[in-house]
Order: sequence, then structure tokens, then C-alpha cells
Amino acid sequence: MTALLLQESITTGVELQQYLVLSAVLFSIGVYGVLARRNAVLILMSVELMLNAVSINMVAFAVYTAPSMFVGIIFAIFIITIAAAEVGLALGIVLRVFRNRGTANVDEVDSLKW
Amino acid sequence: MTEVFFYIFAATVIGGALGVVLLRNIVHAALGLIGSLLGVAGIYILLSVEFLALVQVLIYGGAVMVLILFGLMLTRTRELKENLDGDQKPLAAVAALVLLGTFIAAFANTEWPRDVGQITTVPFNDIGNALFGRWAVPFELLSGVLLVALVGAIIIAMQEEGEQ
Amino acid sequence: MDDAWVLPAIPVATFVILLLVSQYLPRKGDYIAIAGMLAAFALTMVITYDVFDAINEAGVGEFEGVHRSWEWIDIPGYLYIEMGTYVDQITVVMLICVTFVASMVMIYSTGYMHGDRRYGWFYAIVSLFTASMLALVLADNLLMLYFAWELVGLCSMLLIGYYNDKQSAAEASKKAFITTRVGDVGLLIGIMILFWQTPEHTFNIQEILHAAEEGEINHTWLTAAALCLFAGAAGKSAQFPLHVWLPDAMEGPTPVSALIHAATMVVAGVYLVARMLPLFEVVPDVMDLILVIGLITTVMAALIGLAQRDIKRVVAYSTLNSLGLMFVALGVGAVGAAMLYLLAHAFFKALLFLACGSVIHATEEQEVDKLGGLWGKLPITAPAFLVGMLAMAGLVPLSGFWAKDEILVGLDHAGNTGALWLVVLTLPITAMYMARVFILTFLGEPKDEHVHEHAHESATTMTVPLIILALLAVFGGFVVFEQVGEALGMESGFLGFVYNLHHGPEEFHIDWTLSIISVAAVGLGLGLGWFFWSGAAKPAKVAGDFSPFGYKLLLNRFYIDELYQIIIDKVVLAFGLFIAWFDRAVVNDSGVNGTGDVTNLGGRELKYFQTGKLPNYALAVVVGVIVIAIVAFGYRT
Repeated sequence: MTALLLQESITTGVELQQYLVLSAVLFSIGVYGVLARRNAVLILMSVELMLNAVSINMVAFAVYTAPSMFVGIIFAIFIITIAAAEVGLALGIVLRVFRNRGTANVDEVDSLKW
Repeated sequence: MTEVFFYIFAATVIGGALGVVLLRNIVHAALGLIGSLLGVAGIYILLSVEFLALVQVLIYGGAVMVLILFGLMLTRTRELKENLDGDQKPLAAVAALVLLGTFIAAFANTEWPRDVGQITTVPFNDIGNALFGRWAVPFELLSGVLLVALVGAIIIAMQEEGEQ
Repeated sequence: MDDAWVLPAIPVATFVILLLVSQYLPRKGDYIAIAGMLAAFALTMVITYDVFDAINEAGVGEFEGVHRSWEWIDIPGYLYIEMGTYVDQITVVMLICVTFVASMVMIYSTGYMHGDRRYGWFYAIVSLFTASMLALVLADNLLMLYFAWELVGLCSMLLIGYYNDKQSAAEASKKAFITTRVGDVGLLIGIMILFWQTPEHTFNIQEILHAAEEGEINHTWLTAAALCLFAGAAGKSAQFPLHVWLPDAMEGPTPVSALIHAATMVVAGVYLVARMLPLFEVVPDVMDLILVIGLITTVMAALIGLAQRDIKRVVAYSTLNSLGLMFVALGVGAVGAAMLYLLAHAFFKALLFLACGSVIHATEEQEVDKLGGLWGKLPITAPAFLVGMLAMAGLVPLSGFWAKDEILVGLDHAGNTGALWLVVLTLPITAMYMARVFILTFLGEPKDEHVHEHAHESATTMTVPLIILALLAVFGGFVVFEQVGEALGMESGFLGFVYNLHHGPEEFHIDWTLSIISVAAVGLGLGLGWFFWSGAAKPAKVAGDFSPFGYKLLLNRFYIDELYQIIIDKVVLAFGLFIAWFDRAVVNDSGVNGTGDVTNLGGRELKYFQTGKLPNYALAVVVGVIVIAIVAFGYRT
């Protein structure tokens, strides 16, 4: 509770909605990347974009509407950490697939088709 | 003043992101990603969360990007001019635009519970207290997850016996 | 009396023993079955005297019957069913018939069935047959009665089809089972209606009867239930139009025929109607139906009996004749007369069948065309058959006379003159065909020398039951006299023992006019029989030639079997073909295969959606998210 005393409210001239729109645009670009790209590493990169969009969203909400407890900020930290783990694992899988099948293009890996 | 910086950073973020999804050179795309991630760090600063900005630069801009570049390097056997986009590119564009429209419509139709013109600054100390006070247990669990993921990544990527 | 449940338990035990170990026992264990049955008979006598004492204590007309029950099914709030025994006068008469005739049949069978391949099985099934009949008679509730009823049907099928390597026997057993089943369905429906409509929702017979008498059951439903119950009774007791199985049941071993006809199976229907008579009396229309069906059966059976060639078949039609009479008596509510006739009938019909069996055993022939002149050859069987035949015809003073006379008196009391005269008219016919079969079998010239020469009197085990039954057939009717009843331990005659609950016990008195008429009718019939068939039987041939159509009609049993066959061929089988087509074309080809084909086709076509490519799946996920978002969004605003 003492921590809250150090906080202060300031007006920056940028409103919450602007951050949200930025986040939405970033997220949509990420979605487009995931759907349109065929290289596995590029898809991973697009996923990172989506994660960042979510983080922006979280932090913006936390800062604008729910400053106590820092839930949004802590969440963003967690997302960054999980993203690091995810990238590590995903790249391991991509490498594995590449070694086994000679390609990193996801649309060429279709053993699960009919 | 802040508004100007916001637009600069936002342009960086979106420009980098577009680079990731549109550029035909895969290394250029990776560079675009770096730009975009650094832009996000700037956005964090504008939101008064400097700590997150630092973390963003360190982890994303450093560690994650290095990993991704290694991934690119290790999986690049074919020609550079290879088509990087799949068959469903138009559909993907439509889906992304509709999604964006949905989001924006949702924002526009939402009534916010309090004044959304003001931000509450978040000092370093408070984040530290929260992270190691109230959120200590999830934080420690997270470090466990990270460890397990890295071990798993190593095992998955490891060359097995008899494998080329 | 409280422990009457032991009675069916004994033959059930012998059934189980024989079924399991009869292979390893000397004589295949027939003595166990006989000992068990004799024990059951002894126990029956104990119960009988208990009932006598109870009646004497309570006073004639006051005895209510002894009821004992155990909890069977108890689902609190939904269903409570008891099973138990109920012993009253009707039960006692039935018990005596069943255990006594079964004992006689079993003793007789040691000779008749001697050396048979499935000797042990025969005794096992006869034991079960008797046990189910005892359970049927003792049951205090309709559900238990129905179980026993079906068991009787099952055992009868097994026994009629005992020579199951013979085509005709297998078909006869099937016919008996299916024909009685037609009635059984009615019985089941009737029981369900009664359970449903009785306010207490009970299967207990006495409670149902009480509810029916108090008018607590909707009259329409009660009529339906009574009709259904009577359908069951008519099936089991081979009443027109469900009588066709009984003559064919001759395919079984002759002792089985005796058992079925005299004690265990066909009288079950009579018992059911007698037991439920208070219910039937609430719906007079059904009573009239019972009367009419009984009359039709009697007249028809008597006429058919005139022309049959198989000695057992003639006796079988005489059973139909008698059963018809019993239903006539029940139709006017004369339950005492019906039960008296049932008792007397048990004795003389068992006697007739066992005597038939003795003849068949001696000559290995049962067509009257090939028999004849056996009087001297079979010194015990022939007089025994004569006694049975005269009792069946109803000659004074044999048991059949008293019983039949009571039925006539009952009809007279009911004021039903038409039915009375119709019954009187059948008397000479009955006497005539009984005389005919006796004359053709035992008198006259031997028609087949070979058969005649080889004929020999049966063993003692077979003749002793004949003698006992003959004595009872002669003297059994005297129980109507109060003096005889008192000598046996009752305070009244048979009619004071078994009586209609509504009208109370009836005094026995001889109606001289009716007696003289009936004796004259019987005498006329016997005389006509002698006239037609004695010697070379020329008058009979003349009569047959005079009306070849009538003769054929009788010989072919009014073509009822053929009619049923045609109905089955044209209607049932045609309907069956339609159902088969429907099953094949609609249910199988369209329904079953169609579903399969649609699924198969759908799978074959839809599998192309499974591209195996990650981006396609991811796109699907995104589209799904968008749809959910839009739907949720639209829902909120």
C-alpha cells in the first residue's frame, strides 16, 4: 500500500483508445503474417508481433484504468518470459522438422492430410 | 509532445511489423521485427513503464532476435528468392482486416469505467515490490517453466543417433 | 395350509434332481419323481382335510380361504408386489385333480415309456409341468399365475414335441405353443389392465375381485379385462376358435395326453374363469360370451368326434366336448357344477387316455380301422375303457352323470332354456361317438389279423392306475351327496363345498325330469351307436354315403385347420412378406445402409478439408474467433 503513495496521475495528451488501436493493428498484422507466410521462422516472428500487441494492450489498460496491483504490467513481464521460452521450443521444433524433411515451409509438412 | 512521440513510435511499430509480413527477403523481415520490437519498447516508455521497456529491449531485441536469426541461418538451404508467402495470402488479408474491424468496432462501442485521458505513472520500485511481493510465487514458477522449456528445446533439437 | 408353497416345491426339486443326475441313477430316477408326486398328493390330502376342518369351524358359506404372502418386489412409492399362496375350495379341487392324476400318469408311464431314449427327461418335464400347474392353482396374485401359466405352456410344448425327431410331433408342439400364445397375450393384457385400473394397483386376485365387485373399476375397462382374461382361458382350455391345437397335441406320448387333458393344462382355463368368476359376473355380457363359446365348442366337438378315425383323436374331441360343458356351466355362474365336472372329468378322461395308451401299447396301432375284437385280448383295459366311455357319455350312476346333471340343473336355474336343450341335444351325439370308438376298437371282428395276434395286456404298473381310475370314475360322482361328503369329513356335499360366492352354497337335489331326459338321451345315443357301428357297421356306411359332404365336413373337422392355414398363408405370410420387404428395402437398404452410405460419402468428400497444412487450420481458427467475436458483439448490443 505504501507503494501507491509514490504514484501520480499525469495527462499525456494520448488517450487509451489510441494505444488500443495500435495494439489492434499490430495484432491484425501478426495474424496476417501467421496466415500468409509459409516459412516457419517467419510465422514465429509474426507470433511475436501478436504477443507484443497483447502486451501493449495489457500495459495500456493497466496504466489507464487499473493502476493498483500492477496486474497488467506483471502480465506483460510474464508474456515476455513465456515468449522467450516459446521461441526457444518452437525453433527447436523447426530445426527438427527441417532436419527430417529438408524444408522449413509449413505447407510442405502435410503428413496429416487425408 | 508525448503525442508526437506516440505517433513516431507507433509508425515504427507498424512499419516494422509490415516489414515482417510483407518483405520478400527473410533477413530484411527479421530486421523489420527488431524495429518493431524496439518501437514497442518506446511505447512502454510513453506509458511510463520504463522497466518493461528495458526488459523488452534486453529480451526481445537481444535474446529472442538472436535465436530467430540462428533459426533462419540453420534452416536456409534453398535459394534466397524462394516465395515466402503461402497460397492463402488473399484470404489471410481479408481475415486480418475483418478482425481489425471487429476490434475497432468493439473499442468504439465500449464505455470506459473512468476517465481514460490520464495515466498513472508506475515507478520502478513499485514494480519490484509487486513482482517479489505479491507475485513472487507465479514469478518463481515462471522461472521453472523457462528452465523446462529450454531443456525441452535442447532435447528436441538434439541430434539423435543415426540421424543425419 | 399355510405351507402350501411346499406343494409345487416338491416337483420342482425332483425336476432339478432329474435334470442334473438322472443319467447316473438306476432306472433314470423315475422313482424319485413318483415318490415326490405321491408325497405331493399326500400333502394335498392333508391340506384338503385342513380346509374341511376350517370350513366346519367357520360354518358352510363363511370360509374365506387361507392367504399367505411374502414380499416380492418393493420399490417404495412405486410398486409393491407380494407373492403368496391362496387356498380355498376351488384350489383344493384342482390340487386333488393335479396331484392325483399326475401320480397315476407317472406310475403308468414306468410301463408305457419303458426303455425310451429320454426317459429321465420325460419324468423331469412331467414334474415341472405338474409343479407349474400347482403353482398356477396356488398363486394368490395374477403375476405369479401368469408365470406359472407360461411355464405350463412351455412344458406342454416340450412334452407334445417329446418325439421331436418326428416332423408331425414337432409341428404339433409348435402349433400348441403358438395357438395358446394367442390367448396368453390376451391374458397378459387383461392382467395389465386390471393392475392399472384397480385403485390399489395390485396383482392380488382377491383384492382385484373385491374392487371389481365394489365397482371401483371402470366398467369399460373391466369388460375389456374380462374379455382378455377369457381369451387366455379359451386358449389354454382349447375353446373355439382356439381349439385347433388340442387334437394335434395327440402327437405327444399318451400319458402326456392324459395329463394335459385331465389335469394340468386344459383345465387351467376353467380354473382361471372359476377363480375370477366374481369379476366376470360384474359384466354379464362376457358371461354370455363364455356360455356361447362353450356351447359352440361342445356341439362342434361332439359332431367332429363322430367321424374321427384315430382313437386318441376321438378322445381328444371328447375333451373339447367336456371343456365346452364346463364353460357352459361357468357361463351361467354354476361354479360348483363346473368344478364337479372338472373333478369327474379328471378321473374318467385320464382313465380313457391311459386305456387308449394301453391299447396303443398293446397293438402299436391307433387307427380304429385296424383295431377291433380286442375285448378278450385286453381283459383289464377293455372294461376300463368301457367304464370311462360310459362315464363320459354320462350314464347313470357313473361320475359323469352327476356332474353333467348339475350343469343341466344350473342351466335350468339360470332359466336359459335354449342352452339347456342344446346341451341335451349333444348328449346322444357324445354317447354315440363314444360307443362308436368302443365298438370299433374292442368289439366286432379283428380288421387286421397281424395286429390282433400280437395284442397282449399291459404290465401291472399300467393296469393298476387303470383300475384305480376306473373305480373313481364310477364312484367319484357320489361326492355330491351330503352323506358321502359327511363320510369324507365335510358337513355338506360337493356343492356345499364349492359354490358361487354370490348365490351361496346350493342344496343338492335330483331334478327328476332333467335326469330322466338326460338318461334317455344318453341311452338313445348308445343305442344309435350300437345300431350304426356294431357288426359290419353297414348303417354307418349308408349314413356316410347318404351325405358324403357332411361326412367329409366332420372328418376334416369343419375345415377349421384348413381355414387357419389359408388365413396364415394368405394374410399372415403376405403381411410377413410385406414386412420383410419393408425391412429389406426401407429399414435396411435405405435406413441402415443409407446412413452408412451418407456417412461414407460425406467422409470421402469432407476429407479434402483435412489438408494437413498448418496455415489452413490457422485460418480456420481465426475465422472461428471472428465469428465468435461478431456473435458475442451482436449479442451485447
